[in-house]
Amino acid sequence: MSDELNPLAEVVVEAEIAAVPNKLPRIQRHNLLVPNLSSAGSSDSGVTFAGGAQGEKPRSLGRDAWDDMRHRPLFWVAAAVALVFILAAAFPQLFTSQDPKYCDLIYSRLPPRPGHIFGNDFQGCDIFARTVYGARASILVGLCTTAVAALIGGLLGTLAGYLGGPLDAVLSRIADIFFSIPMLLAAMVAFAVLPVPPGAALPRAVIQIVLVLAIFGWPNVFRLMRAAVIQTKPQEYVLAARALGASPLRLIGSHIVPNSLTPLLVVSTIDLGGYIIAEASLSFLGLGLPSTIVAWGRDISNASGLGYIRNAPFMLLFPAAALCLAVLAFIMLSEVVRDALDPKSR
Amino acid sequence: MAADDKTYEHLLDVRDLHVEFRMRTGVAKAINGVSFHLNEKETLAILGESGSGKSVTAQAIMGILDSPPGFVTGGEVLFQGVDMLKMPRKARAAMRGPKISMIFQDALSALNPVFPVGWQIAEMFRIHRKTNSSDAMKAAISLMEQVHIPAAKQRFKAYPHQFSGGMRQRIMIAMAIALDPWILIADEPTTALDVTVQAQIMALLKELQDEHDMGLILITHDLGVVANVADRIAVMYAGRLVEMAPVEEVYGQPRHPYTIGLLESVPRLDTKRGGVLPAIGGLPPNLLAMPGGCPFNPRCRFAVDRCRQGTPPPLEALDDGTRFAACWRVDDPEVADEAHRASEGDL
Amino acid sequence: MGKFVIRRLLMMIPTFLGATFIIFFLSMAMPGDPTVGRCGERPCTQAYIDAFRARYGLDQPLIVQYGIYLKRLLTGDLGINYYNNSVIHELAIRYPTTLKLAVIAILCEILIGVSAGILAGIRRGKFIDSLVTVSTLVVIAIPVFVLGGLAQMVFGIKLHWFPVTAGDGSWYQLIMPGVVLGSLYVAYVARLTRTNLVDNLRADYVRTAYAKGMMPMRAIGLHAMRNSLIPSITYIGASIGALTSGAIITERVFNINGVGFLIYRSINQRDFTTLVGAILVIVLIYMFLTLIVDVLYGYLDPRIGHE
Repeated sequence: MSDELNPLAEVVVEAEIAAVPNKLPRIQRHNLLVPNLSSAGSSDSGVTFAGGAQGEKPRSLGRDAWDDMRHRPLFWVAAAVALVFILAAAFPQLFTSQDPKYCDLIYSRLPPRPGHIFGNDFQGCDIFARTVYGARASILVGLCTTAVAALIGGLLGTLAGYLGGPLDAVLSRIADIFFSIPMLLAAMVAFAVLPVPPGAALPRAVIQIVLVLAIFGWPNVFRLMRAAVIQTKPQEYVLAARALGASPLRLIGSHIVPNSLTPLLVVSTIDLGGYIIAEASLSFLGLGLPSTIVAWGRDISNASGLGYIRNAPFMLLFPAAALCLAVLAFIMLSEVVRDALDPKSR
Repeated sequence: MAADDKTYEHLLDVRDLHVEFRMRTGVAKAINGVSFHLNEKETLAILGESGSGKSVTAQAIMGILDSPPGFVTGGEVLFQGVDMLKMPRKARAAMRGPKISMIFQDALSALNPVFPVGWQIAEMFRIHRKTNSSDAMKAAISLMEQVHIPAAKQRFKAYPHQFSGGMRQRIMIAMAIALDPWILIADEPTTALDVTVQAQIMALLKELQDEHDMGLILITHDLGVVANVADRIAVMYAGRLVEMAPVEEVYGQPRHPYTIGLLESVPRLDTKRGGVLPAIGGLPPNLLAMPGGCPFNPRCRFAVDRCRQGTPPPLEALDDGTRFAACWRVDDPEVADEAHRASEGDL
Repeated sequence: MGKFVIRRLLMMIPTFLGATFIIFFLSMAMPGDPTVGRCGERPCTQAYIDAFRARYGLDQPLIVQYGIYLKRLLTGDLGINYYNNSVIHELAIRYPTTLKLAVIAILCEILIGVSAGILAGIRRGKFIDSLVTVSTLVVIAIPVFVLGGLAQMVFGIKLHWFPVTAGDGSWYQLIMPGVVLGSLYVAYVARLTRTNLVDNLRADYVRTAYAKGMMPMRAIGLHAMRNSLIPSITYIGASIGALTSGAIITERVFNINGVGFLIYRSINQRDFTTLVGAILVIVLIYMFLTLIVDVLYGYLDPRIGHE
């Protein structure tokens, strides 16, 4: 599904932006290790204690988050699963010696058994091999769409947030337009207009899907980055840098962007799962990737006929499980990263 | 309750209070054997830096510690001779408001953002006295007038964010005194406010204290606030009381090296221009890994071997019994000398 | 408030124009000839094709077609599709079914989503919290069409609790598809409610409520809850817009003749009048819901003013 309405992302935006620029509570926590004790924060009201200085070396947010993540089993599990899928996408031969496109009708719909541990599909293809090889399209689409959307949305969002004015107004309206068209719907129409030619090679097909999904997915990132930049811009350290004569490019590059990167990272990881699902949904509807390319969505679609569900449920279960597991791994990663970056969650 | 048939010694008597925070990273002993008392109509200031445990003490007395992770692990909190720690939850909750109430540092976050302020004040009457809503409203408006909120009637329906910081704190105060409590605990009531507003709020607290005959526990890290209003001062450090005495005596002749350091670090009118304001070096101890011996010894310029070896007994009564200090070298002339120098000059 | 609504309505105009233009442009660019198969086995005669194109204005430049379309739209006319049916009528006979689906989905969001979120938030760190946190993640990771297939397999074929498909669109038949459609948003609502409740339970004003002598029932149930549920309520409102487009897949899996099915069919049949009309209505619903939600937010949360 498209995730234009993803509250995970919303929450991140608020929590992260609130947390990032102000590192004081974080340092205090390290000093005191008792959050409830740090109620008296202000020390600018005349006569105060002299001893309350922050002495411990302030650690960077990323470093801190990493320390936190390292100790979470969930992080390692999710990372391991994601890694397995990325490996399968890059080197499917590592996992299976079978050819996913070698199909023999003799084996049609045979259930799982030694040698074909996931069974065979309607055409007699080995489901395990198809599941392994299917990772490539999904992972490629997921990663590339995320990157392209982050690039477009990040760039335009930073510009709009930093420059403001008419440019911001125009860009925001354009983002609104793309935001108001549900991604899946738009992608359906787009692929009906310009179907991937049958027999197209994987890179050609993936590029088209990535572009279509990214065109309707970037407003998410745009809004986030714009908000982050607008929040960061009036921060005192940015003002200070500007007062010291830092050029706008330098300001954006060394102060504003680094502080907005964490929410971008988290939202991108969440969106990644959404894009994988969107691609699979398109394949499920018979749009998107041509049938010559091994992909989970299409295999699931082919296995979804009621007769098959009744008689050969394994045809549906294995590719579906792979799809869900891959998405779950990325969503969990984003969850762990967000928790680690959010001081409130500890 | 008439004052003449009382069977208790002090209005509030805190005895050997212990609080700890149990967290993933370990157990932090936030309060370690704190004992003090408050008499009727008296003002006790609890002084300490962030993390010294003064707010935790207040919350433990109120019974509103975040639990978990916070747990009261020992001691007694006697209100008019009755140990509140042993009360059933419901009875204890019923004390908050009519007997003892509290205001907080940040009134904006302490007030519920989605209810009108008048409603929040009126809630006190509606919950504790089952007053009907129109009477509760009248009472709330009169309270708002009492804390000098202009156009109280019109502002009854306003929301917290529509008020200034000082006005919000006045609303907190109105809420706290609504049921005419015996004790008001003010936890850093002026820290978040401008200096001029600070003075107004302190004056209001004083005024209301006299009107309502309340005992006041004033928690602060601001020595300037304390000097003008407190009867007695208790100084906290690392979850312990290190010194307690009538206010003039603390300022005139501090007995604990920590208090001496505090007084030295106060800028005075007669401080030489360009001179360096002495500060207490180092940091408050990590509550998860307390130093051996006296908790203050790593930062104490008078520390001797004895201070590093054993913790001084909590608050020994000195001299005439009105003042207390927890220090091995409390009678040492060297310390007394420094104390004398530290207290010279006007605040 | 009135000013805010008017300004927002005005801001919707360019968004709406842009969105309809994109859809219109995309649909018109669809390859394939709508006259294919209209003349029996033989290809249509040029005269027929010309007449057909003239009748539907396909011989005009795109921008002119768009203008004509907009003009008709102002009178509430979504046009006549290539099968000689009014698009409004095509939508009108299918919206009740899709709305029923949406109602079931929203009920799930409210009943299951909100209560699971509250339960998890109150029992933070306990078993029920982990259960909700993990299970919602799993639900979010399962695409609707997989969930639909699984539901058919388990509740339809194995357990016989519900019909496997929902041909005539009765409430009973739509229960399973509705739950499947709502599942993603149920999971989001649960997580959102939990996060906000956890945050609010630690809020200073809840401590104030305790300091005012309130029992947990009122401190949590009234003070914390009122704040925590505002985002959930508005989110549920906003999700209605997304539900209609999510219905495309659900309706296909369960073979339901709703708006999603109509969209899917019109794409396959190159029936762009219907397609544009259907998407346009979805975009309109989505935009109006966003507006309503924003206004609602202002009512529920006094801190957000609409001046």
